[in-house]
Amino acid sequence: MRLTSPGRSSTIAIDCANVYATGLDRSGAAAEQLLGRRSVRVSKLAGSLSVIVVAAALLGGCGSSSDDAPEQSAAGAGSGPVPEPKEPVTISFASWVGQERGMKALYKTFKAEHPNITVEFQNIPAEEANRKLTTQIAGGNPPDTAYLDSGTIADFGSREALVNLDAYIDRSDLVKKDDFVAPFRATTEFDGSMFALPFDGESTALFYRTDLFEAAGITDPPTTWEEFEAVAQQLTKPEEKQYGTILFSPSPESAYYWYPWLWQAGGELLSEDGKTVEFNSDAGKQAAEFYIGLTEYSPQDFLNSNSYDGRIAFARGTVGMYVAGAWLAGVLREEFPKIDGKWATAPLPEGAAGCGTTIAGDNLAILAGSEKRDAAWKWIEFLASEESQRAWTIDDPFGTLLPTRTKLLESPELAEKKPIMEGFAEAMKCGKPPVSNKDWPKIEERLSEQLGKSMYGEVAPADAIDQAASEAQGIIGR
Amino acid sequence: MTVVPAPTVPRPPRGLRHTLRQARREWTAYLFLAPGLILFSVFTVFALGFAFYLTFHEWSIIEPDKPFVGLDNYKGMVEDERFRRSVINTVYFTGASVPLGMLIGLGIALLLNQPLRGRAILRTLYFLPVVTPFVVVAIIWKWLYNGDFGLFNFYLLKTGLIHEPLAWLADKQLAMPSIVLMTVWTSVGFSMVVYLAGLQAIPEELYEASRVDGAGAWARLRHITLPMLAPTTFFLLVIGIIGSFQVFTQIFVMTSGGPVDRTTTMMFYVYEAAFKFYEMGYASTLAFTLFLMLLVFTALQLRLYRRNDA
Repeated sequence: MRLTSPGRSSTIAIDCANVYATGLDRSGAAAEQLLGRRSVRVSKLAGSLSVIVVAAALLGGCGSSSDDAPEQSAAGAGSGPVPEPKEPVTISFASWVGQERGMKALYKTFKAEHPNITVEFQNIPAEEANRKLTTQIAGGNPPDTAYLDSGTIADFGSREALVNLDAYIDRSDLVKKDDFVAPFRATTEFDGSMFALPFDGESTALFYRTDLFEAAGITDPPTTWEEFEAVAQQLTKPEEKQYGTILFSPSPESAYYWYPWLWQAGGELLSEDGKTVEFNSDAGKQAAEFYIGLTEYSPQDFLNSNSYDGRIAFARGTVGMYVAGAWLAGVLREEFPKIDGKWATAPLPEGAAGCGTTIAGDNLAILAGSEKRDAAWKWIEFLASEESQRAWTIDDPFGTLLPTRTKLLESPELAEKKPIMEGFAEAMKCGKPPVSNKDWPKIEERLSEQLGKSMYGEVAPADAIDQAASEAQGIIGR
Repeated sequence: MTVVPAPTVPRPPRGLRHTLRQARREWTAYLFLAPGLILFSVFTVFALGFAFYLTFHEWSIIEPDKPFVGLDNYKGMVEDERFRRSVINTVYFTGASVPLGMLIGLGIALLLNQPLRGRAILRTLYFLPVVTPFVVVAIIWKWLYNGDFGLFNFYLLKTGLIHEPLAWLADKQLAMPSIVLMTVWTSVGFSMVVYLAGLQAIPEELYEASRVDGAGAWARLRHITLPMLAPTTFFLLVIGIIGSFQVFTQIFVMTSGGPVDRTTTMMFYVYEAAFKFYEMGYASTLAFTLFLMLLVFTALQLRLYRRNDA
C-alpha cells in the first residue's frame, strides 16, 4: 500500500502528529452539527470516530510497508571507478543543511564535475529528520541520499534501510576507510561494514561566560570535577537569576550529557560485544552522583527543557557554564552576536580516569530504497572527499563543525582558522561515540528516564543507574 | 433496465434477497453515497481492522515483516508502569479540566444571557480562544508560564502573591495544573456557546410562572434553569471527556510529557510508542485500550442519563 505520493511526502510526518491533535476537533465538530436532544447518540459515535481517526493515522497515512526495496547485496558490485551516468539523473538528498551557503557552493562544484547528475534538496529541520525519514522509508518512498545523525546509522543499518557501502568504498579513489578518524568511522559501522560516510563531526566541550567568571574572580575554566563543582557553586546566585550550570531531564539529553562524566570516571556503557551492561559500575554510580548533584546549581525553569532551548539561558547570562557540542558555538555566533567576546570554550574537566567526551557527527548515506545508487554514490563520495570536507568545515567562516578526516583534523590549518574550535579538536583524542547498536536507543531511553527522575529527586542517583541497568539488560536479552 | 413491479401490499422483509433487490432499486442513492463510503472504508474501517491486527504483532514500520506476538503487547501494557502513569495523568487532566471548563462556561453563559450592553462583543471575545489555532495558543502559554521571564510570574511577584518565582511547567506538581488552566481557558468559550443555546431554549413561561409563585433568583436557577439544561450539560460532559481523554497538542508543545512523565497522557504515550520508539503494535494496543475505555465510559454515562431521564 502506498499512500504517499512524492510531492506530498514532505508533510506526512507532521500530518501524523496533527491527526491526533485534530481528533478532538473532529469529534466536536461532528457532534456540534447535530446538537440537540439526540446529541447523545451522536456524541457516542463521534467518540468512536475520533479514536478511529487516530487509529487510521497510525496505520493508513503513516505506515505502509516497504516491499519494493531492491536487494541489499548487489549494491556497488563491480570494479574500477563507478561510471558516470550517460543520461541525466536526478537524485534527492534529505538534510537540514541544504539551504546553507557552504552546501550550495559544494553543489555548484559538483554540478560542474558531474553535469548529468542533478541533486534535489529535501530540507527538513534537524529534530524532524529522523521521524520524516522513517515515514518515508515505511512509505516505500525514501530519498536517494541523506545526511544522518551518527546515532541513527546502526538503527537504520540494522533494519536494512541503508546501502552497505563497502563495495563502493573499495572502488573509490576519493574515499578510503582509513581516511577517517576512528571514532567517527565507528559511528557509521554496523556488523563490520560501513553504511555511511562520516562528513562532519563535533565533540562535547565546555562553554563558559568569561564575563561571569571575571565578575566572580575566576580566571581559568575548571579542569577537574572538584573545580567544576566549586565554580558552579560560586556562580550560583538564585536571587540574581544566575546559575552555575544547566541540566536537562528529558530524554535523551539527560543520558547524553552524562556519558562524558561516565567516561571521565573510567566507566563504560556496554561491554565490547554489546551484550553486557557496564554503566552500573562503581565509576558509573560515581559519575551519576556527581552529575545529578549539579542539579543544585542548575535553573529549575530549564530542567524540563533541552539543550537547544536552553541556549537562551546561556546567552542571557543566566547560566555560567554550559556543556554542549560544537554546534552551540555556531548558534551563539549567529543568533547572539551581542555576547561575542563574553564567552569561550574549553575541554571538559578531567575525572579520575582522565579526559573523556562524547563525539557525534553527521554522516552521508544511500537509502536502500534508492534505484539510482551509482549516481547517489557519486554525490556522497564527492561530499566526503577531502576537498569538499575542507570547504565544508575548515574553510567555512562561520561553521563550527569538525572535519572527520584525520589529515584535516590534525592539520595546523584548523587551529589557525578556527581558534575557537581548538578545544573541540583537542577533545577529539578523548572522544567516544555513543554505542552503535540497535538496542541502544531503547536503552538510552530507560537511562534518560531514570536520570531524569533522579534530577527531580525521585530516586537516588545510584539506584537510578541500577534500575536503568537492569531494564537495559532486559532489552539486550530480548 | 429492469422493470420495477409496483408493490401492491407491503410485505415483511425477506432477508438478503430483499435487501439486494432494494439496493438495486435505489442504486443511485448508493452511487451518491459511494465516495464517502469508499473513503470511510479505506481510511477508517480498514485502518481500524489493521490496527486491531497489529495489536497482536510487532512492527517497527521500517521493516516489512510483522512477527506475531500473541498477547505480548497486552501483557506488556498491563505491566507497563509508564502506561499506568499515563492513565492516572489522563484521568487527572480530565477530572480537573472538564468540570472546571463547564462550570465557568455556565457562569459566563448565565451572565451573558442577561440583557447587557455589548453582549455580542463579549460573547465573541469569550469564544475567540476556541477558534484560535491551538498550537499557537500553546506556544504563547508556554511563554506566559516561563519561570524567569513569564508574565504570570512577573505579575504574581509584583502583587506579592508569591515570593519565589514558580517553575510552572518544570515543576512536578505544577505542570499538570498549568496545562489544565490553559485548557480551561481555551474550552470555556465552547461550553459558553452551548450553554447559551440551551438557555435560550428554556421557555420564558416557566420563569414567569415561577415568579408568580414567588420564586427568587436562586430558586429559579436551581429548579428551572439547571434541570432544563441537563441535556446540554450531559452533552458537554460526554464531549468534554472524550476530548480530554485524547489530549495531545498542549502536552506535545508545552511539556513533551515531562517533568518525569507527570504530564504524559495516554494519547501522548501512544504517540511516543508509535513515532519515538516505532513500536506500532504496542501503540495500536494502547490506542485500542483508549478506545475501549471511552466506549465503556460513554455507555455508562448514557445509562445514567437515561435512568435520570425516565
